[in-house]
Amino acid sequence: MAAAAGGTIKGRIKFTGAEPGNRVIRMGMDPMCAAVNRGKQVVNEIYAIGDDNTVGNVFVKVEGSFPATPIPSQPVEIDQRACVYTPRVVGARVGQTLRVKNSDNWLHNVHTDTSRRNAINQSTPKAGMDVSLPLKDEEMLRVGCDVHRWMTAWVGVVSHPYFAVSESKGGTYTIANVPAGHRTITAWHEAFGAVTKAVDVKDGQTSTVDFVYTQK
Amino acid sequence: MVAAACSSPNPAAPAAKTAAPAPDFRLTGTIKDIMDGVVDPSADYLWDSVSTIVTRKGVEERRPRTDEDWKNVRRRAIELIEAPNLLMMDGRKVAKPGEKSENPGIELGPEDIQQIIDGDRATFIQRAHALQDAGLKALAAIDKKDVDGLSDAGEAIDEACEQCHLKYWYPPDAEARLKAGAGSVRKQPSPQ
Repeated sequence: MAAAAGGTIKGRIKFTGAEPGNRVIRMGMDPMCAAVNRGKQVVNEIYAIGDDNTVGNVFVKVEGSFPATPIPSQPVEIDQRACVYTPRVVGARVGQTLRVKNSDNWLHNVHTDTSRRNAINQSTPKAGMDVSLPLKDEEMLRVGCDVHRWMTAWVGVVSHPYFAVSESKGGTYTIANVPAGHRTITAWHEAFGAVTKAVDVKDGQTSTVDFVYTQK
Repeated sequence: MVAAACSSPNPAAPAAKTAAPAPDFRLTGTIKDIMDGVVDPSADYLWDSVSTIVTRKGVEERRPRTDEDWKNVRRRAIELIEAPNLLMMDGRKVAKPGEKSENPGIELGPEDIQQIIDGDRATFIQRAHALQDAGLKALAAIDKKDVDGLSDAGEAIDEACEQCHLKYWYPPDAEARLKAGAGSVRKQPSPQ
């Protein structure tokens, strides 16, 4: 029986050192945000830290160019809900569309911070509205809202399908069907930064690549 | 000048004041430079000076506590209040010649921004003063060591920043908001 084409890379992201904290968002500048979150302590979740010091919301991708594969026709979605973006970190393909919808019946705007051709700055004043951005270039794209400066999401835009985002609980990730070969894999976190490792991918086999960030 | 003073018909009248020479300002930085080097960092410092941090171990309240902390935050408030004076100086350009918008079509380019400012300088001055007013709120709170007041002033600073950005940096989005009935960023529809 022939081995399956491509292999799987999986792993877990952890950190060592003092646990970094998340800032509680002061929603008082917008009464609508304050009202919808009344009774909750909403944090700006830069660090999705789990038991055993695992780290979620890390964007992991294989570096390099690969043979063309179909680009998903479905957009990647981010929701503006209760004055935060959900999810905070997503991955998308070059050529795919990013759709940012508004579930809040008040004003948000979608403003990307880009050094490439992934620019948009457009308001969604009411619930049910959305903005769509065709993604043109690879980058870690920050999405923000000028009305609520705490709102942040990240889109890892990649030219191929070999990427994943680590789970908020458990810090694990899995990238399937990676073409066999000696590969470089990068883990990127918005505060911890990027770490790169090498891995040999073999057809039909699973390679484990764990990452550990050190918090000073 | 001396002869004129000696021949004054009314020796009791005060000597005529000579016009002060124009101040010899040497404008070096652009508005973009001042925003990047002074306004942004000082506003960030004020916003970050009062915060609540959550970890798995508990909650930490960060705020100015010592005299040195308050002195540092005061320095940044002064920067934020004085920076608009630099922005308003005659002859201050938006950007260096040839600089382009980083996101054309989404955000205006320096030449467009310059044109809007030059075409209605009174509004530009008004917006700069609004930032100073917000900074003065922060300064008043700092001088009273009023943590809540400092936090509230942060919201006023945020509002001043955004209103100015909508006018000069990305006005198409301001127009879109108005068309959609959102009006000002702080005048919002009721929740459903």
